[in-house]
Amino acid sequence: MEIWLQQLVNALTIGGMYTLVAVGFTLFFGVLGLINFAHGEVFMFGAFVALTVSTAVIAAGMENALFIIVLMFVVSMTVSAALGVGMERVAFRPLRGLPPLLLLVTSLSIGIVIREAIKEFYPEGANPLAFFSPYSFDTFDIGNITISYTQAGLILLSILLVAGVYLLVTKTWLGRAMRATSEDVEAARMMGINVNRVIRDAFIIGSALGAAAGVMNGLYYQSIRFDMGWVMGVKGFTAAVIGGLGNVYGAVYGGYILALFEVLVVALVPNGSQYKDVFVFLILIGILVFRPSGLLGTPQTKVG
Amino acid sequence: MTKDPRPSPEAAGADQPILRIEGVSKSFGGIRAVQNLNLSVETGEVVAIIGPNGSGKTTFFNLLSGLYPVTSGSIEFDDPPSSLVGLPAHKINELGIARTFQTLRLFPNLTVAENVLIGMNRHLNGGFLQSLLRTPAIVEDEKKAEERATETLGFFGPRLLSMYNEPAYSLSYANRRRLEIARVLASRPKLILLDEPVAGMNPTETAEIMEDIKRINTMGFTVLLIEHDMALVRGVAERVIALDHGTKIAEGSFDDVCNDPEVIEAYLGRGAAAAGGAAPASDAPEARP
Amino acid sequence: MPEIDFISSQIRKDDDRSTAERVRDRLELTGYLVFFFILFLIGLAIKDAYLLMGYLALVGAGAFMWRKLPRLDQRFRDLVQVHKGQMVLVMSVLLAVYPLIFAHDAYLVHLGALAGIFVIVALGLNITLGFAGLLDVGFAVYFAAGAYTSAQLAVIWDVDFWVGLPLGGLVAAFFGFLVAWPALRVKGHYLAMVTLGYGLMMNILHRNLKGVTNGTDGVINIPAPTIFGHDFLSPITVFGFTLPFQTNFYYLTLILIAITMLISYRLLNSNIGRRWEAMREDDVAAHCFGIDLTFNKVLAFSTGAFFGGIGGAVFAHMIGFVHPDNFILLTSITILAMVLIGGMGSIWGVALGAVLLIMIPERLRDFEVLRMLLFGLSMALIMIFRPQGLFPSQRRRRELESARVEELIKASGKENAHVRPVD
Repeated sequence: MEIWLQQLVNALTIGGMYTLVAVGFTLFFGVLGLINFAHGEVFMFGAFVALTVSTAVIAAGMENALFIIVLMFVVSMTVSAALGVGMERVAFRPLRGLPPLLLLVTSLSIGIVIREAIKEFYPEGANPLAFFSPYSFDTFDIGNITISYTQAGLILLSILLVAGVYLLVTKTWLGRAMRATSEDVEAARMMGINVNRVIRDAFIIGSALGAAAGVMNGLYYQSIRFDMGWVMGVKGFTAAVIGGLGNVYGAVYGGYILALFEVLVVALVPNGSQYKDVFVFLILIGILVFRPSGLLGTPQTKVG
Repeated sequence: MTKDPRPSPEAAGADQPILRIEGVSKSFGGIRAVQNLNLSVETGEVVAIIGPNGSGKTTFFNLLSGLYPVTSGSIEFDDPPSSLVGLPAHKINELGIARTFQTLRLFPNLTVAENVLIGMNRHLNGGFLQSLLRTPAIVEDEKKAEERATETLGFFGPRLLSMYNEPAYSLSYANRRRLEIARVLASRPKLILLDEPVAGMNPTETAEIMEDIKRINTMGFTVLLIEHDMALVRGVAERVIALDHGTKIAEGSFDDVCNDPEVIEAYLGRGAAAAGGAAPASDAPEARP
Repeated sequence: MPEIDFISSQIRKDDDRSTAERVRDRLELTGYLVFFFILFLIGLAIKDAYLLMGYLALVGAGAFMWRKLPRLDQRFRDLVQVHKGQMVLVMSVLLAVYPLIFAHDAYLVHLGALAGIFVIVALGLNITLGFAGLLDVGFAVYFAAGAYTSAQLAVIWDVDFWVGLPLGGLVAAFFGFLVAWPALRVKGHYLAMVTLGYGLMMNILHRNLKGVTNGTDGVINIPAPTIFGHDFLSPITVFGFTLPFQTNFYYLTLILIAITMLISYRLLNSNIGRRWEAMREDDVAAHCFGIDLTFNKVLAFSTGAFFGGIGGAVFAHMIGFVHPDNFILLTSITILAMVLIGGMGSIWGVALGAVLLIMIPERLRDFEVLRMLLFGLSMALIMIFRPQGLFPSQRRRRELESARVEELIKASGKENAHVRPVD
């Protein structure tokens, strides 16, 4: 029982990160019809920005750990949002309206560029780097399960961010504009929505959340690596697909479902950790093929 | 209410209608798009289906051409009869039914000629191995097919022929509609389904298409068409069937159907029916040049 | 009936023209091809990576200028169009003498053979993607299937390469067949993701199914082929020249490329190819004109995969060692890039794309650290600035034009979009 609860807490932590990445995928797909494979690298990039911030601030003599962490999040999210917007402006905008494959390959190529740039130009970039994570060893107990302050903070933060996105999408003008753009770009444009601006904002939000997930990932595992973005990209994408690609509400639960599923596979299947990802891909393929509008979405028929 | 379809004089030789539809229904979820439809088409006839938007006309075509599975009922085609229920679209085409699409569905990056060659698909054999070995039979086949394609395009005079090697997307709107028809003709089907062949066309073009449909009919083709343009329907159809809410509300000659109170009601609402106007006819643009 | 203009260019059908004119055209075409080939050889001969970068920039600028001269460009295209036979002949001769030119440099011959292998693989993907329009972002699966099949057959059961080669292709075709079934139900992005997931999944299995693939130990000591008692690992002597043993593999790939090209060409210009293209353009309409979508999609996936497998089998026997790292996502992306850079659907373009994508990165080994960065960067740049690929087929160019036209029509509505401004 304790083991299960402990696993559940782990699933919540990882699920929060998956969800944050998934929101980006789903937003980009919604407004631009793009599967942005550079998004996983934005996640990784965010973690490296945060590492730079912590290193610099600590070198400058700052000691308040909580402040440093807040600063890490703020700077990382801002810089990554800028990266996302830049990417959209330079690479995806010229390709709008062209076959999806071109966008897909472009985003993959940009992902390679970001990854390799970090690997080659970040000091010691090719090796795993220790991440500033002050609260990882301070723990508290609830019943028989042990939770670190980092974990508790991350779960809380991810829920807050996800709730924020949810409110943004459901309650604000921008959210409505985004949903309208997802439904029908032309109609949205005719209704006076500045589609370019909506797309830009989607990239700001998506990339900032991806970067937040990157920082969280660093805080949780206490180490980051240049090639961690790719795996997270695929997981985040799978989470988005579970929720129904393009459906922001779906992305919110997709990440948690995926994390729970992974935990279950590792616990129940012999050699589970080895084959964990095989199951993830099977889920991905299965949902894309049989439930393309997501696990809980309503299927739509489009013929003729 | 629904009269028995009278055998049309042109189809003198045929003992059996070429298409016999009995009790066909189609529902999407809870919505019943087509309900208990009975219909038959004689060989050599031109039959028009009319009805307000959303009355289930295009759904009916999609059922006939195999894009949607039928929920219940039977569709029998040809003699000896073969049931179309449950067959995929390509099998139905192989049996000899070819259709056009209301929203144009050409192969935009293929040339005009290639579009027509695809229309001929059901007459072209040539499996994988023969194509690889390029057997003399295949070469001969291809040559004949191209001749036929040219011949078929010639149906529209120089309009399509002059664009023979141009991609379909470069055609004008009216020519795209013509190419849709040419593609169907190339298939040399026993039954042609035309889904709003003059949608979006101007009166001159409409009149031209009307002549084309008559020519198609004199060439011996059986035509079932959906159309909103009443001038066209009046001009070509020997028999008219009116649908509303997925059910057949009237059938007979153009004038009979147009004066049927239910049809008028379907188009213009209850008040108009009481007033007794000849509703659908007034719908028609002044098409005669 | 009006006169139909079959070839809308200055060059009419061959038989309308005098012999002298035809000979002159052929000579002109030969001149162009020899010139391009020499440019290519110079590039290969440059050892210094920085110098090579400069050279590539120079050739790139030249190519750009060339594109700015539409008459020259059109003339070349027409020549190629009309004198296909001549082009095949000249290219065959040029490629056949390649090992003779670099007889002193075994590495370049090896590189030629490696490029040849990927030309076969890329032509395979070109069938699936370029002809039938089915995205496959997991092509390394078939490459792996061919390589492992042929390698394990040879290592464990001592099966001859000449038997293992087609078997490798068939097993790969089977893997294409497998992915075709889920792929029947999805399109566009979703299809890309399904195949990508398939590729990633299979690579995890390559690593973990030790009984089949030896896991991360890989398959080692794969024997080289022999033909009529001649071992592929011994040098060959022609006209007194002694050519390095890699020449054996080079000629093998050359023959296989010729076969692959012939098959591609024949399929494209037959009912099969036309059905595939119709399916690519509009599958609903294709279905309504008697095209069996299931059969044709499965056929396209399997045929493409078959050539992926053939390439894999040759690769295994040439390198002598097969490892899961050979079949990672990057391999799939690289193969995809060959097709995209070359120009989807264009047989010669794709072949050139494969050669460039193998040779250039290899020759830039001095930039080891930046190689991948440059790869990603140039891919992104090509996609953004020349999305139709470097050597598009005529039809592919049209497709992009039509997409652009659609975009233009949409964009023209933009003035109205701000009637009621948002801010």
